[in-house]
Amino acid sequence: MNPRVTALPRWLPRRSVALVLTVVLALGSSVALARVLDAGSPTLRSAVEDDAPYFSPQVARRLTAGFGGLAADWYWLATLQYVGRKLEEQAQESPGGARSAVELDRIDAVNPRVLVRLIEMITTLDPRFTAVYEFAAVVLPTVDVDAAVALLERGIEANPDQWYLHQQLAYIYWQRGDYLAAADAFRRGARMTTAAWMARMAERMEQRGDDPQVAQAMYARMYEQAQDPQVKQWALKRLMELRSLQERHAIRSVLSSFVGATGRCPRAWSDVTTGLRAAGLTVDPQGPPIDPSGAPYVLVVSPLGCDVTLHRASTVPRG
Amino acid sequence: MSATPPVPSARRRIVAIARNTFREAVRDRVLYNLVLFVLLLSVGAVFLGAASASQDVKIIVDFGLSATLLFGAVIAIFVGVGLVRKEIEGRTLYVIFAKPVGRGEFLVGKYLGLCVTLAVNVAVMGAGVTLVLLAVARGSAPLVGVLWATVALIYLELTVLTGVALLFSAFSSPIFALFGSLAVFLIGHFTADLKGFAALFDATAARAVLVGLHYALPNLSTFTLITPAAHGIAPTPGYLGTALAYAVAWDAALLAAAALLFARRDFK
Repeated sequence: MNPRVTALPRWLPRRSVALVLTVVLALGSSVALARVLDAGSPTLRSAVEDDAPYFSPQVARRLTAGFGGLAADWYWLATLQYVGRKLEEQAQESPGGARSAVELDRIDAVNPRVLVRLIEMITTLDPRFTAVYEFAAVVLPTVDVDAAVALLERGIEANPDQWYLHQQLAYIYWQRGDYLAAADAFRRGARMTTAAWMARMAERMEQRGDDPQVAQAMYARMYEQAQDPQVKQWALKRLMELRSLQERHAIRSVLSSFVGATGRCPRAWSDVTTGLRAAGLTVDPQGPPIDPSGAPYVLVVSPLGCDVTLHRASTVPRG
Repeated sequence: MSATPPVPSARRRIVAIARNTFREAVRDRVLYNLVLFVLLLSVGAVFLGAASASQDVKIIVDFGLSATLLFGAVIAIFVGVGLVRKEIEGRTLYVIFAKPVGRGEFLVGKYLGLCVTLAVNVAVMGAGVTLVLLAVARGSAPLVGVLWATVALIYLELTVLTGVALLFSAFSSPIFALFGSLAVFLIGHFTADLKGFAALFDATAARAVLVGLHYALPNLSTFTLITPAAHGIAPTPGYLGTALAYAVAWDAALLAAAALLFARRDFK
């Protein structure tokens, strides 16, 4: 028997209208109620969101049997959501309230125990999930640098063919100011690849690890190698920040030369256009120099002197 | 001259169908799943509790309530999808419709019958979890109150899910109804994330579509507060009341839509 839909019976229209009205009214009220529930639900859930997995990674690996990869994916999504929530929280507390103002390597709102446990869980369930090590190398050092180092060492051991994990490890040491350990990490990585820059980075790190040029090279390589778009974006922002710092240094030199020659601060950027161009800065036809995010720098003139600062619309990190 | 027997009221007709549906479910051994549940709960309480480093109470609540939801969902979907199909295949539908029973009444009766079956199921499972909890906590389990509030929410979710299964079975084939109901169950637990995803999009249209989907599908995660319950966090009476109203609104919408479609179905 194959049921078919036929034309409406004679008695139906009035009842149909009533039923359609019921559907519309009920769905309408469900939307209104959903809004009320949406507002109440986060309060109930927020109390438990800082909850680390209570199984040890080893127990979880046994329990997931052949589905370790799937479980790792699940925990990876949970980690991203956790970090994302913390970014939002920290952004809301920051003066501008902009999410972009909080950088991946500066989230101090995360609970170290939760984040470390989540990342350990993923890498135990799926030790070849290399994007996780990359993400951890950026996010984890702020909250637990030793855990970050231990994790990367385990990642290198589990992925002997992934030479760029040494670069992530070198980054963690470099951030900590341990340039010799960073150089050693680069050297270990250089043995596994034909990329000559690893060996060059090791030398530069040993000679002068705190050189801004080294920092620039470090972020440029992180940007090139990154698999995770968030990490890529973060490295790009760090590069922008470094470039902007150099540009502001150059602008301050131009400003002090102008003050030295005229005895006063420039009234507008157009007074120093020639000097700015000579310093190799990108200058807008209207006069102001342009920062790496495309926003104009702001000239600050006060009784104390003149200075340069970032525009409100600039997306260059403010440190 | 013999008098014509009086036609029972619509309410009595619906109650009769509901009672019959419940009896049929018992006859079909639907409640046998409770035995499996008790076995699972015992194993879970003993082994998982021991492996979790003194987190046994949390694990029992997590495990017991999750099993209650999953078992209930399986019954709501599989039995709900078969409610209409069985009557058609057994040709009992013709006998029913030969009597003064409306199609809408038939659906509402079937729906209520399954809801009663689920209520018994959920209540027994809740009692099982409570007993294990009391045994593990040696008589003093402060989570019992929270647990029953959460069980009530799970039951509300199951009534919505039954409505979904009934709606699909009112107009489609059993396979489609089964997959459709399963899809709504799965997606319903992620609709809350749709709103979160919407915030990531700059395009207004994409954001509107995602927010629209969030409201167009039943948000089943509203009823699933298992994790907070395991931490002793109870929903407020206001939240419970709103969740009840939300479930009733969805139940009404689903039943009305099912009745609308079922009225146009030809069984010849």
